[in-house]
Amino acid sequence: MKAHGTTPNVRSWQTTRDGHPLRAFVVQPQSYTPPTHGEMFDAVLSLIIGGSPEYASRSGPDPAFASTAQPHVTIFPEAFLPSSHLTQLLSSNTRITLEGCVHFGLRPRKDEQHHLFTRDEALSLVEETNPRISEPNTETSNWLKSIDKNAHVNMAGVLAYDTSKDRPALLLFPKTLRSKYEKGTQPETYMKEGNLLTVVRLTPSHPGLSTIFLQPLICSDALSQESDDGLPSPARRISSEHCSIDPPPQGIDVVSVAAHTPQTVTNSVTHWKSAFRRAFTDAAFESPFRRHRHALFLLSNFGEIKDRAAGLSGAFIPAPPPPDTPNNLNFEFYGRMNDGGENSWSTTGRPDQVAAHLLKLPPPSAEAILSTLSFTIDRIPRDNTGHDRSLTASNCQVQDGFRNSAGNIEFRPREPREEAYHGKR
Amino acid sequence: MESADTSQNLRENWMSWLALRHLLPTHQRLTLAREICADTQIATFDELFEQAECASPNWSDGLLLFPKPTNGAQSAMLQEALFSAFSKSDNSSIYGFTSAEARLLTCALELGSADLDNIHDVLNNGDWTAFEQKSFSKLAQSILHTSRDRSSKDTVLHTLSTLQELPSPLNAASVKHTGDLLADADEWESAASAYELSAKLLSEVPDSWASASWAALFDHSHAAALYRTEGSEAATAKLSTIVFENQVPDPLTRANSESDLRFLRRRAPGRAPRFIHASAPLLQSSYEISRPLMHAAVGQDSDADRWSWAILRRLTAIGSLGKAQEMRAIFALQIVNRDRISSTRDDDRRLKLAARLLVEAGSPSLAKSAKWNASTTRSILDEPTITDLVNRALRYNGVKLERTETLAQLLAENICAAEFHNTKPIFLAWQWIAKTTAGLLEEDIHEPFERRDEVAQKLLSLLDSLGCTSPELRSGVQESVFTAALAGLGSERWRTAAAAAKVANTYSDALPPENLKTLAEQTCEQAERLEPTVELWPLIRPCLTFLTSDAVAQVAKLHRELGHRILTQIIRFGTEQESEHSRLFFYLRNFDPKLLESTELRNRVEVAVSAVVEDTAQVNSSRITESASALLLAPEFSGADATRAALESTCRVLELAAGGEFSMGIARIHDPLFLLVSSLDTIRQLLGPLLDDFIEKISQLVAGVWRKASETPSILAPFSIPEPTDASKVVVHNFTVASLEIGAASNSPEILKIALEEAEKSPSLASGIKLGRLTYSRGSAEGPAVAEDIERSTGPEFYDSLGRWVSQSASDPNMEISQILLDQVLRFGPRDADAAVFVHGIAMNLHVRRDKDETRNYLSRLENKPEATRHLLSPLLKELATRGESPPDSED
Repeated sequence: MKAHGTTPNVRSWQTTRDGHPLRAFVVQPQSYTPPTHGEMFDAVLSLIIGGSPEYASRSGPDPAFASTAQPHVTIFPEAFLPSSHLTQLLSSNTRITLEGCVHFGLRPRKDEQHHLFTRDEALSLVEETNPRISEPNTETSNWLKSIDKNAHVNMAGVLAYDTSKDRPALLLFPKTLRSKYEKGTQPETYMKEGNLLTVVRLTPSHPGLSTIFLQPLICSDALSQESDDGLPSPARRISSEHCSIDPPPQGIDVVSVAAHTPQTVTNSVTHWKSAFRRAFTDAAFESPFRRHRHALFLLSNFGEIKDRAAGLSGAFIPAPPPPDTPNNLNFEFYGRMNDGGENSWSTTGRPDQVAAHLLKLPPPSAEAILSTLSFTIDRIPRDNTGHDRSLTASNCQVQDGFRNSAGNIEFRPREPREEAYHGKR
Repeated sequence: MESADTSQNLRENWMSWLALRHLLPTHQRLTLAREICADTQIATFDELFEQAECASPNWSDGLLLFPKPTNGAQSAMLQEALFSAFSKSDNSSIYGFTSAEARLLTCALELGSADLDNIHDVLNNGDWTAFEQKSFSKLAQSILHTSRDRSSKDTVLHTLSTLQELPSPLNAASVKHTGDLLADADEWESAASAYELSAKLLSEVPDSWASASWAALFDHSHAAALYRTEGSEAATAKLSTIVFENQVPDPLTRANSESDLRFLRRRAPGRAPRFIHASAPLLQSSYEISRPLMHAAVGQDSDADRWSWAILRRLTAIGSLGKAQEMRAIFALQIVNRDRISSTRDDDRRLKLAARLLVEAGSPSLAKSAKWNASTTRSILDEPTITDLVNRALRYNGVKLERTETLAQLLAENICAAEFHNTKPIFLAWQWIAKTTAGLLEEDIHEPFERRDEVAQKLLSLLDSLGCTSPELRSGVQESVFTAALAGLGSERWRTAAAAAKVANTYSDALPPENLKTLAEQTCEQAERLEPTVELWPLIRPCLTFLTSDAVAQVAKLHRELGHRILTQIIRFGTEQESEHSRLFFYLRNFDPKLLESTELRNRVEVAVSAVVEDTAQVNSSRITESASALLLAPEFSGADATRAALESTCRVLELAAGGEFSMGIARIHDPLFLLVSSLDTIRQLLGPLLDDFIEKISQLVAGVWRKASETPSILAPFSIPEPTDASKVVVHNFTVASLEIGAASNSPEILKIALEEAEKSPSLASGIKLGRLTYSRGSAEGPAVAEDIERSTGPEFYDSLGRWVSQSASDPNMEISQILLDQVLRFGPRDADAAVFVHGIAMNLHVRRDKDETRNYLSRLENKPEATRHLLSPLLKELATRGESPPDSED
C-alpha cells in the first residue's frame, strides 16, 4: 500500500549490539565554520572508531575497566559536512569500520555560502556515492529526478558499515519541512520540501534484543507543522494514514535531529526554542504521535550561530530521571508540582512529578572548537517496563576538542563540576 | 454578573481579551472564560471547573478554581487554556493539540506573553492577519509595527491610531498594553504617549466596565512613565491626583498608588516629609520577605535580622503556615551566609538559632544549600547542640520525618565543612545519621513505608558522600554505618538496596572482617533474589562492585562458602549480557577458580569465554585487544585454550603491523602484552613450555613491527581519518614500554634491543621511544626528547602532563628537564601544582632570577590568587629567587 504523497525510504542495517543499553554520541561544533567541518568530522570518526590513546604506565589492569565499544548512534548538526568530503572519504581506502550509524547534515560546498543543494548537485552526490555503498539511494535519486531542475534541497545522510557486504552503507535523504530561514526570495535560498519518509531499522546481532527504529530528521523536520502538500510532519506521518512504510514500524525508538538553530535566551538561561520543546513533549504525550510515545530524541546543534546563543545539544528522554543525575550536564525537567498546575518546563528545580527531561551540554571553555557528549541509555524507553520507569543517561562523558600545538584536533575529557561533597570547601 | 453589553464585547473579541487578560479584574476574567466556552462550544465552564469563592475582603477579588476530570482531548485542551488564563505566570502549555480552537487559543495566549523583542518570532509561526476576529489581527499587527519603529513618539502614535477603531474599551486596553510593552523595552517617551492616548479613549467607556479603576490604573502607569521622562515631581503630582483628589472607588488601586507615592517621597529633592504607611497588617501577602533579603544583600545585618524577626512574629500571629516556614529558613540562611562571608565571627548563639530554625523549617533542600563556615561548625557540632537539635527533630509526630531529613542534611553539611579539632561530636552527628537510617528502615518512626524508605535512601546517599569526603573518619563510625547498610541491603526496594550497596563499598576497607562478611552475605542474598534477565543494572552494578572489592575478596578467601556465593553471582550476572563479558573477567580476577565447583557455573563461564574468544578473531575491530586483554586478566578462569587464543590474536595484530598493514588493534596492543608479562607464572601453569614459544614468537613479531615502522612509521598509529601519515607518539611510547617488558621476559632479548635501537634512528619514532625508555627505566639520560615536549606544550597540555614530567625529571641527571619545567611554570602559572616544580627545583639547587619579566609577571598574577595559593607558592618562589641573587659559590 502506498500512502498518498510520501515515499518510504527505509534501510535495515545490522549493528553490533551487545545488550539492551544504547550508546549515543552527540557532537556540537562550537561555531558554524564550514571550512573546518570536514576536519571535525574526521576527528570525531577517528575518536569513535580508534579511541584516543593514552600514555600507559607499567601498573596492572586499569581498575575502571574501560570498554572500547563504539556508540550505536552518532549525530552531527544540520548543513555540516561538505558533500565533497563525503565522496572523498568513501573513495579513499580507509575502512570505516563503524559499529553503529552516524547521522549528519550535508552541504554542497565548504565555503560559507548557502547550505541548500541545487537539484543537480544533490543528484550528482547520490550518483557519485551509489557505486561505493552497499545499497544505492534509489528513492532519493528518483525523487530528485522528479522535481524541478531549478529547485533547491537540503540534504543529510546516515552512514554505517555493512559487515555482511564489507562495504559502507549510506542513506541520503532530503529535508521534509522548510524552516523560516529557508523561505528566501531567491531560488538558492528557497527550499523544496522532500517527500520521503526516512527510517533506519537497526537490527540486533542477538535475537534476544529488540530492533531499534531510528528516524533521522533535519532541524525543522522535527516541528509540528504541515508541509506544502498539506501532509503532517514526518513524526506524525509515521503514526497516520500517511505512513507509507509497510509494515509500519512498531514504534520509533530514536529520533535524531541534526539541527542548526539559534536558541531562546530568557533570564540568561538558554532554552530549546519553544516550538522544539513542544515537538518533544507532543511526541511523548500526544495521541497523534502514538508511534513516538517512547522516542528518545538525540539533538545536535552548533554552539553559536552568528553570535547568537545556540547549542544545547543533548537528548530529550520521555521518562523521569532517577534522583541522582549526572553532574556534568544541565537538566531541564518537564513536569508539575504536587499542588496542581499543568505540566511545564523547569530549569530551576525538579518538579514533584517529572514526566520527561532534557539533558543539555553546558557551554565549553573558550578554546574548545567542538564538544562531544557520549552517554548510555540502559534501555531504550520502549523496553523500559516493570519495576521502574525512571531513566536517564549514564556513563556521561563530555569531551572537548582543542587544537593542539601541531594544529590537529585533540580531545580532552571535561572535568565534572565540583559538587558539594567532592572536595572540601 | 456583567451586563449584556460587556458579555457580548468579551465574546466577540475573546482572542484579544485573552491576550490582555492581565488587565481584567477577576470577575471579568471569569466572564471571559465563560464566553470562550460558549463561543468554542467545546464544553461549558461549569463542566470544566468547580468554582469556590474565596472568603476574601471585598476589594482583593480572589477566586479559587478546581479543574474537573475532563471528557476527551478537546475539553482537556480548553481546560488547560483557561487554566493559563487565570494563572499569574506566562505559562501557556496547551501544546500538542491541533484543532482549530486550540490554534486560536494558543495564538491568543502567545500574543499575550509576547514582547517587542520576540513578537517577530511569535508571529512568524503562522499567518496572523486573517483571523475571524478582526480585532485580534489588528492588535497583533499593531504590536509588530510598534516593535519595528518604537522610539519615535509620532510613529508610535500613528500606529496606535489604527487601534482606536476597535470597539471600546478594547481600544483603550490595547493601547495601554502597547504602552506597557514599550515600557518593558525602556521606551518611556513612547510609552507615556500611549498611556495618555489610552486614558483619553477610556473616557468613552460605558460604566459597566468599572472604568474608574482602569482610569486610576492607566494614570498610575502614566505616572511611572513621567518619573522616567521628567522626574519624581511630575510623577508625584500625577499620583497624588489618584490618591488625594479623585474619589476612587477601588481601594486596590489606591493601595497600589500609596506604596509608589512612598517611593517617590523618598526620592523627592529636599527633606522628605515623614509618614507611616500601614498596608493591610492582617493580610499574609502584605508581608514582603524581600525586605530582610534586601537588607542582607547590602550588608545591613541588624536591619535584616530585625525585619526577619518582625515578619516571622507577625506571620506567626496571623497563623501563617507555609510563609512562616519559608521565613524561618530564609532567616537561618541569612545568618549562615553572613557568617561565611564576613571576617568577624557571628555570635555562637545566633548560629545555633540558625540551625534550630532550619530544622524547624523542615526543608532538606534549603538545609543543603546552607554552606557553613569551617569555624562555625564548631558551634553546631558540639554535644549539647546536637542533642538539642535531635530532640527538636523528633519532638512532634506530624513533622518528624521532614525535620529528621533536614537535620541529617544539616549535620552532613557541617561534617563536610568541619576542621577536625575534635572528632567526638563529628562522630556523634555521623552516627546519628547512620542510626536514624537504620531506624527508618526498621520502622522506628511511625510513618507510611514509602515515605520512610524515601528518606532512608537520601540518608544512605548522605552516608556514602560522607565516607567519600572523609575516608579517614570512617573507622570511627563503622559500627553504626554497618547497621544502616545492613538494613538497607535487606530492603525490598531496589533503590534503597542499591544505595546501601554503595555505602557498603565506600566503607568496605574500614569495616572489620566479620561485619564485611555479613554485609557481603546480605548483598548475595539481594542478588540471588534477582533474575539476570530482568537486568536491573542500577542495583546489580553496585552490588557486584562491592562483592568484588579488594576488601571483600580478602574475606572471601578465608570463607570458602562466601567466596562460592559471590562467584556464583558474578557469573550469573556477568554471563547474561555480552557487554558485560569483558567486565566479568575483571571481576573474577580476585577469586580462586577452585571455588567453581558446579558444572553449571563452569559451563556458563565457558560460554562467556567462548564468546570473548570469538571476538579475538575480529582483526578489523578495535575490540580485538579488549577481548585478548579480558581473557588474560583472569587466565585461570579463561583456561588454557582461551589463553592461547588470546595470545594468538595478539600475534595476529602484530603480524598485520609487521607486514606493513594498518591494524586496528595496534594502538592498544600494549594491554595484552602487559597482562601477559604480569601473570607469567599463572600462564606457564596453563600452557607449559608453549608459553616460551609464544614469548619468542611475540618478541620476534615486535622486533618485526619495529623494523617495519622504521620504513612506515604510520603503522604505529590509532585508526584515523584520513589515514595516518605518521606514527603516534603515545602509541610509540606504549609500544616501547611493552617491548622492553617482553624483552625482559624473553630468553633472547638482543633481537628486540637491536630492533628498538635501529627504530630509534627514525626521526618519527625517536622521541616516543626515548620517552618510553624513560617510563620503563625511570633513569637514563633521555632529557632532550622530554625537554622538547615540555617546551612545545600549551598551558592546558602542560598541566595535564605535569605529574608525568616531574616524575621523569627526577631521574634526569643533568637537570635540563627541571629547568625547563621551572621556566614553563613561570609562563603558565600560578597554580597550586607549581609547588611540585618549585620544591623539585630547590632540591636540585636551581634558581630563578627575580628581575626576569616572567618572574615579575608571575608574582603579580600570584597577587590575585586566593590566599591559600599565595601562602603555598610565595615562600617556595622566594627561596628559588634568593638562591638566584646569591649563588652558593659566591658565598665564601
